[in-house]
Amino acid sequence: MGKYFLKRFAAAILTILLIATITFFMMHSIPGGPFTRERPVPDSIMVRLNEKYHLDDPVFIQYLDYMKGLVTLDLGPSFSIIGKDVIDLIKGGFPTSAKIGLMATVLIIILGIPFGIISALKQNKPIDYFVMFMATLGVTVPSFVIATLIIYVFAGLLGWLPTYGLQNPLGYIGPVVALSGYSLSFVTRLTRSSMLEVLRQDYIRTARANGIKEIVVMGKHAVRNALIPVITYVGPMVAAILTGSFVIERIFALPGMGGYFVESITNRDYTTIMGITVFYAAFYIIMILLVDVAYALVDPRIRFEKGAK
Amino acid sequence: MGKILEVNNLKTSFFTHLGEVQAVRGSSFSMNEGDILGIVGESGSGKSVTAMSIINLIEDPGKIKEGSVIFNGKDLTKLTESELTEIRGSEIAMIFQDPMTSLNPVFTIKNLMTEVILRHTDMSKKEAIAHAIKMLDLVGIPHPETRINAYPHQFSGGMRQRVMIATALSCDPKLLIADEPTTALDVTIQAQILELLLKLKDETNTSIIIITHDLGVIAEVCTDIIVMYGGMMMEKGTVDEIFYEPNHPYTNGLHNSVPHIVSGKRDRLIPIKGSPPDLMKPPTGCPFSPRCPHAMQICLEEAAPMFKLSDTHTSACWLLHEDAPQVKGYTKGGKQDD
Ligand SMILES: Nc1ncnc2c1ncn2[C@@H]1O[C@H](COP(=O)(O)OP(=O)(O)OP(=O)(O)O)[C@@H](O)[C@H]1O
Ligand SMILES: [Mg+2]
Repeated sequence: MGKYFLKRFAAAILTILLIATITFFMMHSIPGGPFTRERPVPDSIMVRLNEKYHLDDPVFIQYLDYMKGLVTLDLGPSFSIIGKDVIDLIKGGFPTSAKIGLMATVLIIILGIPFGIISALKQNKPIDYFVMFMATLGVTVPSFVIATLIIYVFAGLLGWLPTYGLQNPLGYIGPVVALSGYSLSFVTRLTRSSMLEVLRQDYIRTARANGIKEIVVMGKHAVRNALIPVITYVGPMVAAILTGSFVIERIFALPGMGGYFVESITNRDYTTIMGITVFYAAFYIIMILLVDVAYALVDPRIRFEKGAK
Repeated sequence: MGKILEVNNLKTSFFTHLGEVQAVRGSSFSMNEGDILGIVGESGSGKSVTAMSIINLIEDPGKIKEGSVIFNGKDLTKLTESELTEIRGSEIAMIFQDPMTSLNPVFTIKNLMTEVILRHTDMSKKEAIAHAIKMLDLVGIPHPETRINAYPHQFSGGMRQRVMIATALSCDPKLLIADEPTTALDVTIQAQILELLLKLKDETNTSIIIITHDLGVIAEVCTDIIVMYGGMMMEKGTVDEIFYEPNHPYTNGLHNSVPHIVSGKRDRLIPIKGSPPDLMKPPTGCPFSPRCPHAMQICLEEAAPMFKLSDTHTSACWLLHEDAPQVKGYTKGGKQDD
């Protein structure tokens, strides 16, 4: 076990460095630089600026400098928001993104899994049809449409929710619902089909033939197995929800990381692009690593197969 | 020795989208305490459905349409689901064909076994673990005190089947139903498992139903045999009667399609021609008539009643009717059993 995860951890670090490298060179291959503006900056100032930020060094040297900073967790200063380090931008924006993302994740898990289970147990009954109808809707309607609808109906027509911002706690409802729509539907469908699959298994028949009460057959024998594919989905989903909240943050005008990221790209704010990309990549990889741990906890076959004895 | 099980005119069907699959079409038999009853027949003949009907565990879209299953004086077809769960696993236990898939992969053997023991007895958790270890030892699992903490995938197929047997017998059932307990195993392991079942039967005096499509398995261990075909019982008798005085063309066909070693040389196998009936549209007559070498007009029109050849031996074949033509090997004029 321990050795296996050590190996996985090393691979994760390598992956992050690789992503940083690719992003770095792709970013530099885009024409223009952080100080390219509509109205050209006088050459003399440009030279000084480039010198100050070492942009006049060969790209490869810049790359080495950046990577050196990266391993000491120094992401450098922002090029467009003067006087701020990238790490400060992340510290400032991430808590908001994380709060909304976590709320959405919790909502998805505590609703999606039970919905899926109920739907499977009531297969082809009205409640199953209803849940599946909603889930299909949720998978097909894009989140920005849901967001717009929420603002239009609940904030505009009914006036129950604020249109933007998080000053009022009710302000969380819109972004969280819009953000969870897709994954909630997906988790519901996944849980349902996984549950139906498990209910056909021989070991369920064994449990019933042993006189185990139906509620235990479901709650213990079936659900534990049915959750295995769901776990696989939930890890990357958490990362995707946190990174995918850019659009939602914009629509609801939330002070999250999304705003900084979008701006940094239009501004070719090299350090901010790099910082946020690497941050998200690391986050994503850690989530996948966590999934593997959870996986091994639920499914002993994995624990022993990969476990170093 | 009292009667432990009596099945009367059992009919079980699956109501699928395509129509009604009549899996069991009127089985009647009974078992005495200590009997080992073999149910033999080819794939799809309704053996497993019969077994599941006995414990009244037919899953949707299936239903027991008619008949009764009297176990220990109670009609199991009339009990509520919660009364049935009290009986399943404690008074009637079951083991299945595929030990690789019949144990829940995410729980330890300890967890799976004690769950059943705690469900049906008053033992404490500690006593249940000790009992489970004792049962594992009984079925021949080496180092049961440590192996009990293992997961199913850490056992071989034969060992898993032993675990299944240990679990099934842990609450001291009066009846054990083994649905093809050896089919998925190697030949050498098959013999070991059968031997084990016999040994345990002697120690616990459990009655056993063994389901198989292999006559060889049955010959060695059973006291009585039921031959099934197309959801119906074709012949029923003691082992000797079914092996030495078979009185049904299907039973004869089964014998001929199994290798016999006579004076060191192998007989040629004679397969039964044709394929089993479609249970969605079962033939009105004898289900075996389309494949029967002796089929007569009446066989196509009406299913034969059970003709009684002895107190223990009955056969559903019109050849046994007194007006039937004499065919070598078939005893004419048996009394109709109703
Ligand atoms: N859940 C189900 N839905 C529809 N038909 C079913 C179902 N279960 C069994 N059957 C049908 O019932 C018939 C008898 O099946 P059963 O499993 O009892 O056969 P069997 O004698 O045990 O055969 P095998 O040797 O293959 O196990 C088959 O025709 C099968 O297709
Ligand atoms: Mg079967």
